[in-house]
Parts: sequence; structure tokens; C-alpha cells
Amino acid sequence: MKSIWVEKLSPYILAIAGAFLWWKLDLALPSGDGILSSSLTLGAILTGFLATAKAILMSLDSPIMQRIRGTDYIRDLASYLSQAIWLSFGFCIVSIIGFFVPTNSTWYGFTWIILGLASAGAFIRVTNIMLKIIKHPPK
Amino acid sequence: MREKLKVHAFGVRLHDKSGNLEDLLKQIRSDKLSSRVRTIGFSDMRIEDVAQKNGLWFFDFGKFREQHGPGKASKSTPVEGFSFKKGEAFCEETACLYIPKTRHLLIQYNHHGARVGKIQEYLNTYDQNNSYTFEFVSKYDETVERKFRNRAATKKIIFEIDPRFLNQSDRIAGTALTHALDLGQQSHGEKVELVISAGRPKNKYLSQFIDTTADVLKRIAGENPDGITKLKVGVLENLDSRMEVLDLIAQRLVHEFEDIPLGSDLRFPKNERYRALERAYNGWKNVLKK
Repeated sequence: MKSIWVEKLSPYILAIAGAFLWWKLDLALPSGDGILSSSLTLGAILTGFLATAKAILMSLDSPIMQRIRGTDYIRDLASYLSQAIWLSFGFCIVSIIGFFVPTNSTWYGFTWIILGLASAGAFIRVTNIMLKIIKHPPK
Repeated sequence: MREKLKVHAFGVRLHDKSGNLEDLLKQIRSDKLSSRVRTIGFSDMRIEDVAQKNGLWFFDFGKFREQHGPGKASKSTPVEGFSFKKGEAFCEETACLYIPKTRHLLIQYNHHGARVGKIQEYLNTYDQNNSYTFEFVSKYDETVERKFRNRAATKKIIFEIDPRFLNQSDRIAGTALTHALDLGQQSHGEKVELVISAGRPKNKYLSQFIDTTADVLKRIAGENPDGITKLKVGVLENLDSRMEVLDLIAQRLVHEFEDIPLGSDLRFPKNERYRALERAYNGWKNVLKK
């Protein structure tokens, strides 16, 4: 498989693997609101960080960034950023919904773990790329 | 700052049974503009204009640039795009001058336009009957050229290339962005210089394989001056003579013009480019003798 496809699918592979384990081990969310409010905080921090990262990355004018802009990689980069932002935001929403519905049900646990892992994966991917871009020497 | 216009010189080699370039140019001149378009590599190109003057043939290539291009702006107004009619695209121009008497071709260097490799392919494939086969060979200072050609052995090759920054072909090959960035990172974004040397002992030379590499590098440097920025070859004229280092980039025939005025549309006008080619030819008249 071409490495770009691995890169594109990695957060979802991670999420599906996590969900599979969740189902195999028959896990459920612990009772109480503590886990929900901490996952809400985590999701909100990631969303905020990514929104800032997006602004920095897009205004960066280093040679490597110009190179990326000159190729289709810019579309990939924008797509990675948007996936990370929307997944983290979705994770926040699911955490808020958890306050209103019973969280020990299977479907809620599944949604929570899939979105949580996918947003973590997308965040790692985009952070990794951003650090590499920053490390490239300016002209 | 004025923009530079570079002109490179090439020798035109006709293969056996190939017709003459001037006849092909006559044929192209009689064809309609739209039927002169040929797809070379990934882009369409054509000869826009053919003109004959005092036994010299001037022609101008247009290479369609269908990818994204620049906009226009001033210091007080924001960037805006050019408005294109349907079917229009950016078109990059490259002027050429063919001297039939000595079979030399002078080509303006336009990085985004048609370059020598594409020009050669265009002219060779223009006629469907394969009546024409040319080879364009970069022209060097005659003594350097002769020494390189008649070398008895090669003792040293020094060349410098641009490092591998990521590009569109990485994306097409399906390399992940993470990996593509790493590849550029490994070279630290600086020049990569390679020296292959046979060392001091008198009877040691570089192998035939490396010797052929020198020829290949010389050809690539001729086709893409930005790709190879330095190429020096240490050669022996006879097996027992001293090594002499030939600089195959600096000795290449090139004219640089800094006084070409830009037109009001910010392009080099065609006549100015033709004039520059003719000036280069006048300067080289004694070098480009057969």
C-alpha cells in the first residue's frame, strides 16, 4: 500500500482498532460526570490548539511551505488539519451529549472511544507534520 | 532590478536520413496555428512564429501552462487574477535562432517555458512520417570540448546537485507528506556535492562506468542548468600526462543580457528576444564556425 494511504487512514485505523478492543474487553464508561467533563476539556484544548496551528501554518512563508503550496500536498495538509479540528470538536459535542443520556450504554461507549481515538490520531498526524515543517531551515 | 535573459548555444546533429531543420520550419510556417500544437510530456506546446532573415531562422515556442499561475497586483491594490476566455491559459515563450550554415541553434532560457529537451522532442515528432530526427548538443568552449572528448582517462569528477525537495511527483507516487518532508530534511536543504576521485597514483583511473557518468552529467547539465550547478571533470590528455580540470558548466556557451526592456504587459517582447538571439550569434560568430 502506498504510504500516503497509510497516512490518510491512520487515525481511523487507530479508532477502529480501539473500538474492537473496547468491544472484546467489554468495557464501559465509568459512572459519574468526571470522565465526561475531562474529555470535554481535552477536546476543547485540542480544538483551540489546532485552530491556532492552522493559522500559523497557513501564513508560514518558508521555502518548504512554498514547495508544499506548489503541489497537491497542500490539499492533503488542509484536509489533515480540518479532520483534526472537526474530530476534536465532535469529541466535545459527544462529551456534552453524555451529560443528558445514559453513558453506560454500548453505543455511547463506542462513539466516545472512536471519536476520542480518531481525534487523537489526527492530532498526532498534523502535529508531527507541523514540527517537520518548522524544522526545515528557512532560506 | 532588470531581469536577465540567458541564451545558450547548441549544435544540431542530423541523424542519417533526417531532413533539414529549415524545411521542417517551412512546413510548420505553412500550417495553421491550431494544427501546430503537440503534446510533449504533460503539456501542449507549439511554434508560434517562424521568421527568416538574412539566412537566419527565428522561431518562437509557446508552451501552455495549464496549472495555477500568478495574479496581478500593485502596492495599493490587492491581487487579482487575469480574466481568461474559455480555452485560454498562461503561455510561456521561448525564442530560438537556427543558423543553417553552421547547424547551430541558439535557445533563450525560460525556466517555465519549452527547454531544449522538449524542443528537440517537439521538432522530432512534429511530422507524422518521422522524416526528421535531430539531436541538440550543448556547445562548449571549443578547446574544453575537444579536451573532454579526446580524454584518455578520467581521474576525478566533482558535481553539485540540488537536494531533493518534495515535489509533485512525490505526491503522484503516493509518498506520505510525513515521508516527503523527511526526505528533504535529510539533505538539510543545502547543496549536495559529490567528488569521485581515483587518488594520486599515476596509473589509477576511474572505471569506464564513472567515465560514462561524466558524459551523462554533461548532457543533463545541458538540458537542465538548474539541476546540476557544478560539474568539473579531471581528465588526462594522454595516460602519462598531468591531470587537467575542465569546468563543464562555466565553459558552456552562454550569453546573459541585462538590458532587455520589458514590454508594458511585463513580457519580453518577441522582437527584443529575437534581437538578443541575433546579438548572441554575432558575438559567437567566430566560436560557432563549423
